[in-house]
Amino acid sequence: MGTFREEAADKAGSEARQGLVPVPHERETQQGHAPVPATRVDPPSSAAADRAMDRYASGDGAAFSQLYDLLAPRLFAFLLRATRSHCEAEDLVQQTMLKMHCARGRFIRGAGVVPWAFSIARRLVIDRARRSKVRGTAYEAGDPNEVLAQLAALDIAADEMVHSKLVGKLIQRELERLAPRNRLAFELVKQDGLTHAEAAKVLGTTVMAVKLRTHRTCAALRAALQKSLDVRDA
Amino acid sequence: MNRSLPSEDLKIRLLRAVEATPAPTRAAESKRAAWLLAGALFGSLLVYFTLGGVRLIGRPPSLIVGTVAGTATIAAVAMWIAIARGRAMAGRTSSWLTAVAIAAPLALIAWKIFWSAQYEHGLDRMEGRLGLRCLGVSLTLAVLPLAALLFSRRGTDAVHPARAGMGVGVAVGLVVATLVDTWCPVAYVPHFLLGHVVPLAVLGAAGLWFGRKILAP
Repeated sequence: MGTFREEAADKAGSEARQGLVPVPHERETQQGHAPVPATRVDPPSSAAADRAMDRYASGDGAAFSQLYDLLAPRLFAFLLRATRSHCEAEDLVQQTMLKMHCARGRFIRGAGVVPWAFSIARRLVIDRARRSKVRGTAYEAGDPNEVLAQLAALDIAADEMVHSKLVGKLIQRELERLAPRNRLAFELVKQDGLTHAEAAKVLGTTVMAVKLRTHRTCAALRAALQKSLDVRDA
Repeated sequence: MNRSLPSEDLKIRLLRAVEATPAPTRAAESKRAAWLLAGALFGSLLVYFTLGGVRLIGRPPSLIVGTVAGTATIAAVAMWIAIARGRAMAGRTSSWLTAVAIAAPLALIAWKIFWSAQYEHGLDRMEGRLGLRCLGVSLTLAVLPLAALLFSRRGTDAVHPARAGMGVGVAVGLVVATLVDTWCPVAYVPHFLLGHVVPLAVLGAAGLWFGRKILAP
């Protein structure tokens, strides 16, 4: 069952990346009410980002703005998860994009810019963590009014929301318990929308290793969810 | 404001920072890298020919050709793996780079011993040739190309800059070993290890250290 779901999710992600289906940045509720900001940034076409970077490397200054629009939301989501701080994530997005700007002349024609950008961002996170010796800070709760407005727009039952929150916490706890390399592979593929090949480039490993790590993480999460459901049913 | 997206202000700040930080385009950078590499190769070849260049005395030509061909093949494979990156900014995986750094020197030793052993007195000791001179020559010839290669790739490898640097160091060392093979007639194993293999280790270590500093963005 889980395999079928994974395959379906992979297929949907793959179609979205190839531009076969439209990828909205904001999802609408089932009832068709006000749009809700997506918690996960859906990936725009990596090919468009590659083309923009190629143009920028060749000297088209205007392409940087387009590159930012294509990359910054994805990088920000990745960095926000890693740092748990809105300010730090923004700061690291800026540093990542600036480093890409400085090295634009050395960007290999035809290379993928998405894995490159993510690998720079990842290195910046590691460097920052090494410097501060503290991995992340408290997550910023954000403006309470804004959060309330978003929750109201969801228009779902309170018990469903509580259940979703519990499942979310469970997944988060389980992810934090996993080996960092497995977790990172899972996050890059399932949450940041990178292909297995792109994630392999970010992690400096093979596609097979990324598939294996993602599979292991999925299996661990599935087992944890099953266990929690069993406990609840009992 | 959407908390799951960067603020609007960030883009404005970033564009301002980009405008204030000039960065060369690909064409300018390629030209600079080409000049740099050409200059480094010229410098190394100048040193090589100043030292006497190819020495055909004391060894049968087939021994020289065979040794050099084997070393050049190993160097070419090492360069293909460690220096050519194809269409990826990070190049090969860590495992490949480590494999090159370990396997290439072993292959070099194996080939040198195998080929020299085919000739009478091919592995004989030569008085007064410890290998220190070859060590010095190898390192001198390799300094400029290694520096030029690392500089031309600066700030681009965010995945494994240290290992990439190590791979580049060993590959450059092997290219230099090809040149030194045309110059040095000694295949005595202790001499070969000190004068021809130790430089690979030194250059690999230098590449590792400088790679971390230079190749990382």
